[in-house]
Amino acid sequence: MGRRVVTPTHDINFLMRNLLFLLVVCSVSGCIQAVDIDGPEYVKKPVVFGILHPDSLLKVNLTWSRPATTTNPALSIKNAEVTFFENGTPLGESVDKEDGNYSLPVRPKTGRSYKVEIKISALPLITAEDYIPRWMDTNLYVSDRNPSNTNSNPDITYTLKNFLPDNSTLWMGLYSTQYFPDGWAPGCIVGGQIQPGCELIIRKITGDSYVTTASPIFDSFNGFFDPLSNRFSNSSPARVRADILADEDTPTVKFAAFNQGEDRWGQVKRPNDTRPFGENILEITFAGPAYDRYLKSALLAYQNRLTDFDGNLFSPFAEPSPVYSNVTNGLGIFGARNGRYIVLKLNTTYQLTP
Amino acid sequence: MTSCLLLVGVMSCQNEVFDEQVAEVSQAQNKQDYLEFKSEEAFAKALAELNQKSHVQLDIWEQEQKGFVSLRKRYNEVIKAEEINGDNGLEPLKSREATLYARVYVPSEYGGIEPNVADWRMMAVVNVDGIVKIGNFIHQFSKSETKSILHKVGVKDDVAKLKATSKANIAAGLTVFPVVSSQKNISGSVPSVKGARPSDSVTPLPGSRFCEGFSGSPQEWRIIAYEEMLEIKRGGEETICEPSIKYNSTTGQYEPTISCRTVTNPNLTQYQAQLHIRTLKRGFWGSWNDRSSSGQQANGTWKLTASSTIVSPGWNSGNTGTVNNPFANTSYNVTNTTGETSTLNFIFWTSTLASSGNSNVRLDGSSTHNTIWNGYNCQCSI
Repeated sequence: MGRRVVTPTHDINFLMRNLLFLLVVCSVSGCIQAVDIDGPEYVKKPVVFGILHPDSLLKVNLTWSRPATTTNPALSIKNAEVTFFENGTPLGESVDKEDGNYSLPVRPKTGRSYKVEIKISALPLITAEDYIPRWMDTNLYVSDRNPSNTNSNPDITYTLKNFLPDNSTLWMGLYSTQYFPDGWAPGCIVGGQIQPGCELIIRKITGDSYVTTASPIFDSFNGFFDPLSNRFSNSSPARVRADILADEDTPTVKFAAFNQGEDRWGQVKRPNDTRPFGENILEITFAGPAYDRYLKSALLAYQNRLTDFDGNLFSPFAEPSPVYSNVTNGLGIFGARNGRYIVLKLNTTYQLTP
Repeated sequence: MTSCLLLVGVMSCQNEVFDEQVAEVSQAQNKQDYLEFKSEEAFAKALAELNQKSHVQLDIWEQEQKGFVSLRKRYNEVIKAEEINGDNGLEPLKSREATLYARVYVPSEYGGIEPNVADWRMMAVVNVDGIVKIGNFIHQFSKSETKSILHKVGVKDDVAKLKATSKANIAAGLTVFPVVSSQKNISGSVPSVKGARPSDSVTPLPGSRFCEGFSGSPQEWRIIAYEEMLEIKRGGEETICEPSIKYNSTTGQYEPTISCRTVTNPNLTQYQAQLHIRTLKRGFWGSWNDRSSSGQQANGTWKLTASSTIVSPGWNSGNTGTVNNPFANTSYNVTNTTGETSTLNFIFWTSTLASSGNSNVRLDGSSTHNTIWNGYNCQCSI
């Protein structure tokens, strides 16, 4: 066995290496420093919020923007002059001005554009505009349970007959209804009857409502490809890619749920479960151009987060994502949509005419 | 000589109360690093008792087994390393531990990994190669098969033979049996049915049902739950008891009695009915990694079905409560009490290792299970 011979030169090299190492450690540790970066200066701005739908009156809500440092509720704007326009023609000034809500007793019509003009003293004119999409002649089919789908969920097929593009975007979301108040609310159903104080509401939780497809028919911004199931998956609501619809005269969108349905798709009631079942709901929405951009950017901002709720890395490429606004001289969104909620049942076809 | 004395001493200790010393590490020749159990009864008792312990208690117990490193310990190290890698956005199964201890796990078709042993209770008593000695048999357990060799005094290379072989050799006292699982048998000819239910048009194989639930946006957390009926065949010692008539010289009369004898049998079967729960987190690149927590719960009812309803010679309740009649509906409501884990099994029922008496035992299709991953908003039902 050989013995290592230590010479004075070795000692010097050894000392130099260690000294260098210490210097590097000291200099690197000295680089860690907390840096405060000021955000943009707070400027008080009017915020417009209004999502038009054919079954609701023309309405916007006006508030003042808040500084990022406060948790106080937004202050409503009470003395504005709000005028609505249909295809460029004025419909009249809002007659209801309660708590920042301004409405007109007019229901918007499909296939028309709506604009709002807002005058607030000492501020430039605020305007915003969107288009109420037409409802297409469509057909919806829910199959029997399909063992090849996750949780043997049924296939859901949505067909647009005689599709006519009208500058709108199709969004689809799977949700469920449940009884409120008190969460699952045992006692809401007695003898098959809904008790007073209980109501069936649509449960829209972005975190557990998914649609899954065999081909990438939905916009990938809020979805991913799962190599295990060999399927694409999107959070609800999912945005149907425009090119999918444009390629055919009778485009078809076929998908399924990922999670088990609220009523387990008509399966027998489980033991030890006192809550009443809700229903599986499909939301179909044709979004106007402004509402489409707003919805996508708002969902994208939520997706674009650096860490999850455990504080672990969620996306290394996360960055601040601005939410779209179509309001000139202000903030917020004045959008328009045309949608329906469908209660889904197995082996059922739905004719969804305009 | 010292080793032999130690071995004798160890063997003589194994009938003592389990908590004091249920098993000892063999320090015999060849630096054997596996546990020895004197009998099938001692092994079954150890499994039942260890299955009630938390991970912290198991860690302490394992530390007391000097020189022994369990498959459970290495498996948990892989899980931990993979969780850290996943949180850092790295690809699965690329951690140092996953490479070093590749024998202790198998990639799961559902994502993440599963222990490379069919009966997850055995994780604490087999070494990283799946080796354990029970009575006169040395076994190597894995997820897909069980290899056994009858140990003969003076033979030193039986463990090496066991590891090396893939085929049975009756003359050498070596058997190899595939593990039969209701989830997927060894030939893969019995597929699991995802989330299928008794009223489905597709009739699921009893005991093969599966469900999964997701949360997060996009999917970040996932619970998967599945029934599994295991049939594990292997060699071992079977106690056979038979009624007989014995002459009593004091009374001068013949009296009925039961005489028992231990028989070595290379072909014994054990059945086990259970519900597995696995919890996973999706990595940034889309793959699913195991995610440990202590928030798993399950409740429901279960019962067995069999072509012969005689379960003999015996059976044990699992860790879901006392069972009076495994062929009648039994309710259960269980919570993970073992500590943080991503790989949990709630055992309903397990049979005694036997050569006969059980026939095609299955979880009945009317069994129901509601599983919840508390804190992660994940749940699914079978």
